[in-house]
Amino acid sequence: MNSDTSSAIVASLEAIVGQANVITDQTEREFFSSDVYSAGAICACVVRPGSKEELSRCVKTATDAGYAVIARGGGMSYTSGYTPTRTQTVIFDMQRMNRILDVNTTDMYVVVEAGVTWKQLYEELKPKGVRTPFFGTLSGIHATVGGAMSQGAMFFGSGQHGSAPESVLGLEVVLADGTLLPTGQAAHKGDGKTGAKPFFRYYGPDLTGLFLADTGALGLKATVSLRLVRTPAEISYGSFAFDEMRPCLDAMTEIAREGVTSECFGFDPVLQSMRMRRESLMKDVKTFANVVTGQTSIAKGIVEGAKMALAGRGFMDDVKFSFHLTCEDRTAAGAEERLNFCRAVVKKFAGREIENTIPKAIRAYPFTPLNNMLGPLGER
Amino acid sequence: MINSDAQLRNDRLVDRLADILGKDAVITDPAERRFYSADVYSEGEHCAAAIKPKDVASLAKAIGAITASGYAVIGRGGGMSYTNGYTPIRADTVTVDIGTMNRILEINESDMYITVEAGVTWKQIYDALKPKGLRLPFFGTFSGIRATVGGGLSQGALFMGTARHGQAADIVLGLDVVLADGTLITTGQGGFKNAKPFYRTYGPDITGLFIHDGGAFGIKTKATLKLMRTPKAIGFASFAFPNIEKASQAMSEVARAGIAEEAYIFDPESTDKNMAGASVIEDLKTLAGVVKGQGSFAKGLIEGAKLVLAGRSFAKEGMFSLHMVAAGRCEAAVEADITTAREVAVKHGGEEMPNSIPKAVRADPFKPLNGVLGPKGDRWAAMNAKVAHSDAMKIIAAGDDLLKPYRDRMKALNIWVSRLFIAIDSHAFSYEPVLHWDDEWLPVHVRTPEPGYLAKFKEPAANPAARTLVHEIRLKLADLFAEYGASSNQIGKTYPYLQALKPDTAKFVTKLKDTLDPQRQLNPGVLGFK
Repeated sequence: MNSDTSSAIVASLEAIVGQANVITDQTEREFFSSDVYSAGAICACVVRPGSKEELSRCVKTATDAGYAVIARGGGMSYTSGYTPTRTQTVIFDMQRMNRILDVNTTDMYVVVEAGVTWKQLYEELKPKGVRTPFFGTLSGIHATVGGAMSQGAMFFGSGQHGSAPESVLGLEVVLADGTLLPTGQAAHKGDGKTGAKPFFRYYGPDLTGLFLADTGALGLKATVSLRLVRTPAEISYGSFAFDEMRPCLDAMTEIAREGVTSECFGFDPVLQSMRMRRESLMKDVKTFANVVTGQTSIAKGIVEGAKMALAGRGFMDDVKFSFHLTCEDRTAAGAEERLNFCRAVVKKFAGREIENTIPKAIRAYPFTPLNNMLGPLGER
Repeated sequence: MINSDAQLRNDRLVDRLADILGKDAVITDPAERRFYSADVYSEGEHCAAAIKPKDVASLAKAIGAITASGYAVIGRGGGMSYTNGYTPIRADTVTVDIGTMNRILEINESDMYITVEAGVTWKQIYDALKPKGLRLPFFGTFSGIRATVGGGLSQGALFMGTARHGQAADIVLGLDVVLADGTLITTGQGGFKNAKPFYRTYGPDITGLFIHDGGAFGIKTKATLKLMRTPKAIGFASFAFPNIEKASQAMSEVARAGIAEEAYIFDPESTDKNMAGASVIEDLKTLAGVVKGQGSFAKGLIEGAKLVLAGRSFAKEGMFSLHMVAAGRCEAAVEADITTAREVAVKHGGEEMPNSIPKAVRADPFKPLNGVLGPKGDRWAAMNAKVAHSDAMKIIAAGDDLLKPYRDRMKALNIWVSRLFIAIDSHAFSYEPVLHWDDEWLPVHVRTPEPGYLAKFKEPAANPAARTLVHEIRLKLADLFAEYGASSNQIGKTYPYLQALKPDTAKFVTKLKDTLDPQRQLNPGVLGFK
């Protein structure tokens, strides 16, 4: 790389976001240029915009100067999603754009900057009794809303509401030339001052979807509007074991077709033994406390927590294949009926019910610290 | 055709289309061309020909031939719309009757999707899925006996299942679309090599570009839609409110709580109309449907008897009625949803009334379309604005204000307004004022209703004065909705869509149009593209 041009772009970006928010340090650039899987070409610099306006100006500055631009959210991916293929690249660290801009429980939407993490959003919404339909990945302590939207993330709530893109109402996207493009209803002028509210996605051809699961190929997401749903009042959990893989999968797919779960996920024997060794999930005492607070009533929580502690880790000892699920409903009868449907399916496929520690622990503490960036024995 | 050059060009294209599609599939009869060129609201330029393709390969070839000869091309589904969605603005247009492509291609119960040709009706799908215990999440419009999947996807259709599952756009997994040059593309997972059409979002979503596009970007020939298992338990409730403020607040709260599959409000005029429109015989028909539609036969008989006993005497003067359908996995869950709805209604000054209306709608969702004419053989046309819940009363009041100065002229010309309000998912409130007036009938009004129904009326005389005023009011309403940042379904050539977009987004959409249809031959005028 030509260091003259490099210092020129750094100076131009510093003029927009300040010196503190342009990173040129070699080690840091290496860090930002590699993901969980591998290292890419080392970027020329990293810029940390603090607003959509700064993002827009920085993108224009970089592309005008012939640089490639890549947005990086929490950095939790492993498919070279944001690793550069050329050194003449500016990486946009989105983590400073982490403001929740509008929580509207009357109109049931929330607007966030793309660098907000799923944990941050979940915790902001929880006391208000609402959440987004898809509400995060297991890596949600770091993983950002923008990153998940670029990558087509799924996990929490996906059984009912699909992947991250399906919860979106609209975006503001910075195009390659720096244009800040609104999509969804907020792309309409409305009264001409503030524009229309971002409450609806499908008016005319859908532009929003072009920028979802696009991995940043078509633009850089600045803000995201998401739907809100009221958090279901009741929850039930199930864990089931099978000796063979085929009936385990058959039971899972039949449960999926019925549409009863919020999450349903299976482990093979390898992942299973890893899960059980993993410190982060099974620090029994810590998880106990969370199970207690996560329950709808304290008394119920203590019972559930005690059951988990008693079950310890031994309940998985002779399990080969397993899956775990969470059902939610507005009523206890509904949550129980959903679980009973799952039990009947499992019975039909010769599985057996085991302690539901795993789905319960995951919901009690949905966004655990990411110690599992390395495997249980420190491997990659 | 006016001059001989144009006539020659026309003849040449008609011959070419006959070669591709067969002579029977190319319609040039003037009366038929008029039929294909008028919707439920008004008549456009008469198309040069209509074609009735039987398969996608010949349709793609035909579209290529039409655009190559400089003609415009418009897809028409069931023809049930009223915003000039498919009426031509130029005479050198060929209209494609998609209704002839009406096969259900695959029902995949294992992978939970259905693939249909674009001319399949919502009723056809409903009937095919019902015995399998399956349903579409959003499962059709009131007009679903005739309205097609292709039309619904072009126009942003909504109603059945909408309070929980959204609208047509929300249930699509992928499409086949013929582009302006005759290229056939597949969107969604089915667009990948060796893949089933089971998933929508792998990479940037292309599917959405062709949904609610009014046929401006391409002509849909096939759609794959999500399936769900039909809820085992269902419940109904209706509530009367003294005014629209209270009724709309209650409906918004029902929507936010996520307790309904459908929730809608009739104003006093529509409540009366719904009661007046039904005859005793229709009550009996509905009763039979209710009996069949219930989970158990015994329960059906009880519910049916209740419906007849309730009769139509429950309509109170000046009331707004909120109707809802709850659906769930067990009786207890549905009962809890209905109980919540009752609490919401009571809190907002509502009174429970017999639930005959939502029950009758669900018992027989796709009735014959006698409703293309009003209860007195009158004409009607709806306008639609979707807003955030907190803007519901603002837009309703603004609509009332807009109509005020017209009151005397409307009265003199016997133009009246009814209003319908619908909850869409948890986050949108739809306001739909409907203008009614007496006027001569268009072809669709003669061809659509059951003969017995039509025989009850004498066709009104042409009424250009009323027609002109209705048109003026519609345009004013469309502008008002844009001012309030509202969304509207059935954009057609009625709502100022492109003009209401912020400049950068308008530019972006125009670039897409320039790429997909550089000569502006796909349904010219729709979405505001001239």
